[in-house]
Amino acid sequence: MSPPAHAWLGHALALYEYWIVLYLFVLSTIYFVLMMVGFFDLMRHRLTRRDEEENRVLEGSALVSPVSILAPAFNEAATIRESVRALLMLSYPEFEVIVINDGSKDKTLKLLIEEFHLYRSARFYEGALATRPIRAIYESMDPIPLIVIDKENGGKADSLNAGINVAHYPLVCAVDSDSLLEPDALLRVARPFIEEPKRVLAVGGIIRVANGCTAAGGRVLEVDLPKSWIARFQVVEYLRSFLGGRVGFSAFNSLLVISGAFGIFSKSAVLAVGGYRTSTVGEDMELIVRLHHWARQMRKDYRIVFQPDPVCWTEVPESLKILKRQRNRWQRGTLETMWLHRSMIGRPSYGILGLFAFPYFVLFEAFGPLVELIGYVLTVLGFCFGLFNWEVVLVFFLATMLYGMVLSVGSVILEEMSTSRYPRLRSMLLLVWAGVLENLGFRQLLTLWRAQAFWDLLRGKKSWGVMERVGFGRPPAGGAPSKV
Amino acid sequence: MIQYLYSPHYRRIAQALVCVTVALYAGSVLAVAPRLDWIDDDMVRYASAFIAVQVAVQIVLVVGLVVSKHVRSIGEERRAKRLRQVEELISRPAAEPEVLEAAGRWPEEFLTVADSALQALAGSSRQRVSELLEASAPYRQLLGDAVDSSPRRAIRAISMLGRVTSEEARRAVRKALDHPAEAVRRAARKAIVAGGDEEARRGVLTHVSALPFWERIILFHVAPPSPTLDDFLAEALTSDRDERVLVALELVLTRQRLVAVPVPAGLAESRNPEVRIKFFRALPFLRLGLDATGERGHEEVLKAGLEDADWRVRALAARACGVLRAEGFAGRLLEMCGKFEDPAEAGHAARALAALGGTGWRRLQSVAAAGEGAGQRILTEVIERRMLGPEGGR
Repeated sequence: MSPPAHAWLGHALALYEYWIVLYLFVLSTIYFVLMMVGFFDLMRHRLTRRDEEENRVLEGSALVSPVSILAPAFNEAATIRESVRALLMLSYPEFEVIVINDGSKDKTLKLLIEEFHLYRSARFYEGALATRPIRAIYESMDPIPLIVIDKENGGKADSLNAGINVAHYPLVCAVDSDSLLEPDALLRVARPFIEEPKRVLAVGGIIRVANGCTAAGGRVLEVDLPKSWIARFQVVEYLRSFLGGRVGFSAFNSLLVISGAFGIFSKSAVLAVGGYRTSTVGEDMELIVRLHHWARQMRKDYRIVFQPDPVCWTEVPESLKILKRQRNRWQRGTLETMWLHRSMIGRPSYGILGLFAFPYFVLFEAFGPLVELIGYVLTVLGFCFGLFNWEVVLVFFLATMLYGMVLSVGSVILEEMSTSRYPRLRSMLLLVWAGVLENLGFRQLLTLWRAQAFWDLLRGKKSWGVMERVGFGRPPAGGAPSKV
Repeated sequence: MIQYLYSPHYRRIAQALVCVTVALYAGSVLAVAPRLDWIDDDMVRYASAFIAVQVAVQIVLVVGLVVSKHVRSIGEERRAKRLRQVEELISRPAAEPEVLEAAGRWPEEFLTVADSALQALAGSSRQRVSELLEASAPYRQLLGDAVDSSPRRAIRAISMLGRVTSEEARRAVRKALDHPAEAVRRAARKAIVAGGDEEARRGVLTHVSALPFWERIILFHVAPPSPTLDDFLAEALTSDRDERVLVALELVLTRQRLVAVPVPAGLAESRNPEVRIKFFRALPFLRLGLDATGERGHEEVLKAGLEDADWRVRALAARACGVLRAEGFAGRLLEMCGKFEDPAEAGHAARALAALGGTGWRRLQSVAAAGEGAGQRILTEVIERRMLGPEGGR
């Protein structure tokens, strides 16, 4: 390489490196601000509310809006009975559980029929949302509010749409049939609807990692950390995302994601926007963004809320292969959603959503992995060609990385100050340590997988992938594959 | 400091605190950077200062976490031990002097145990705990705390004092109705409605329609049956203000018990559809009485409801027919099963017929067998549920 070209390349690379550092710094600062907002919101939520006492009263009220719980199931034979039993035991004045068997190839339906004494029902429903054909609807002969829809395979979004068609109640709660809800989670997540029934369109609860916890009878009995570091990193990640990010976004009514594993919606609002979109793999995020889009266009006074105390326990992948698939899918979902609703970006008519939340998601969530990955590649190239002053680069990377670590440690502290689910000091210290270690390899791996999602999206990849679950509180041998 | 959490301007306060925190963070970096003057490059110097600040912050956070967790677990252990001791003392007969001594020594634990005992116990045992509380030193403190500027302390005191029937406790709770924090006023309202004197309860109920829906539900749930409640219902149900009527009907629906006071049947023809909807929903619990149009029975009211212009009213009137066993309307209900504006209307009519049984039920089966379309499917569902399901004729 000629000296001028070498110098020019060196300058260009250095410029890009500085830009990357600035980019990561801005991202971390946004996270930091969101975390601080989340911290003050959580403190208020925890110290000023008397939910427990009030919920005991509301639990027996005939005036609280009834809820239809929708639980799509695909090849869930290993866990379905326990999960449905847990859902039926929730504390709420009036609710029905609708399990949607999405063309399972295992014994999911048979087990449900036998366990809950189901009969083939003539339940009336209107096909307000288009779905794959429903083969049959079953109801229980026992005094339990259980409905099972048996339909042709169409994916999670299609199943949820079928469930919405069959649901009788004005609120619908989407849950993963392989997750565990805490007994009061439904009442807690529905609380904003009780407080502001005309304004609230959707509410999301917190997802917590169940790996390592002891569960029985559909309940998490003892909370502990997972044994594997991959799962521990995800515990920190979930805490950071929910207690830091989502509480902060919710405070500005610009929450763009409610996890598909646990969210409650106004049925009329979901029907008004046409239900879940079946052509995307990120149907949960897409629905929330569409609700925002619709409500802003209709000039509605509305809220989409995150509640930090209704807890849904879920199993996270412990194998890199499965984790890679999951993150790839999440990233593709984000990209698709951003593309579908690109008209909102930077538009003042969408308020803080168009001017901050959406640009943030596009710049940092959607394109973040690509920018970061290019940065890593250029750094390696720069070192190979001797173009960088490595001390400078190291200092800047260390600064950014440490900033990330502060956020991880901060999220662990938020957990301790808000709900304090991990009783042992050792667990907290392990989480802090995981918050440090995740920056040394794990984060880079996630970046690589997420960047790969761009390529997969361009190729038109639509698959969900399969998650191998071991089941709550079970040894690994008892697992069966299920869709995530 | 905590009282700011209750401020209506909290959102702004929090935003200001966030700005202050970020400014402190940046300020620390700016303050540390000049001390690293042995680094020539400005950017590297500031980045290094940034690293130093972050390392310090992390150390402080982690040490704080460890210490607080440790202190908390030790504190909880000690507190649990004291709670057990106080519980044991309270449950022991003729141990009043020891209990009062313990109350002076461990006021927080004593109040916690007394609070749960007052919630869980009834009769003479409850009376005994109440007397013990009134004789204890922390009780004096509670009387002052009810109007304390710290909302957290005031709420705690109000919640305890609300369970005590002494005049001074009631007076303290009443005073809290004027507290600047809404959360404290809410706690006072609840305490008064649940266990206050009739006059204060009447005062709270007078303004109940201005409260949010969820708070009304809670108040109605905790309110014990009393002449004041009956007076409130009688006054509200005959009020010419729809919001008062709606609140009264909410009370009826919350309690799910037969109302002792007569309810004007004219509400069935209110111009406000919300009133008509709630009226027919609550009808099974209402005793109809005189109004401007004279005295009318359930049958006349139901007839008006089944012919209402709003399908939601018709549906709820149909449901009331089933609950009240109004067999005379079987024909109209059958009509509704065949011709409806919304499936819910046909569903309620069919379920009412299933509940009524007899001729109407038999005719429903034949209509279902002969019909087609959505109506036929709704009827089939109802019939099937009656025959196979757990709640026949629900």
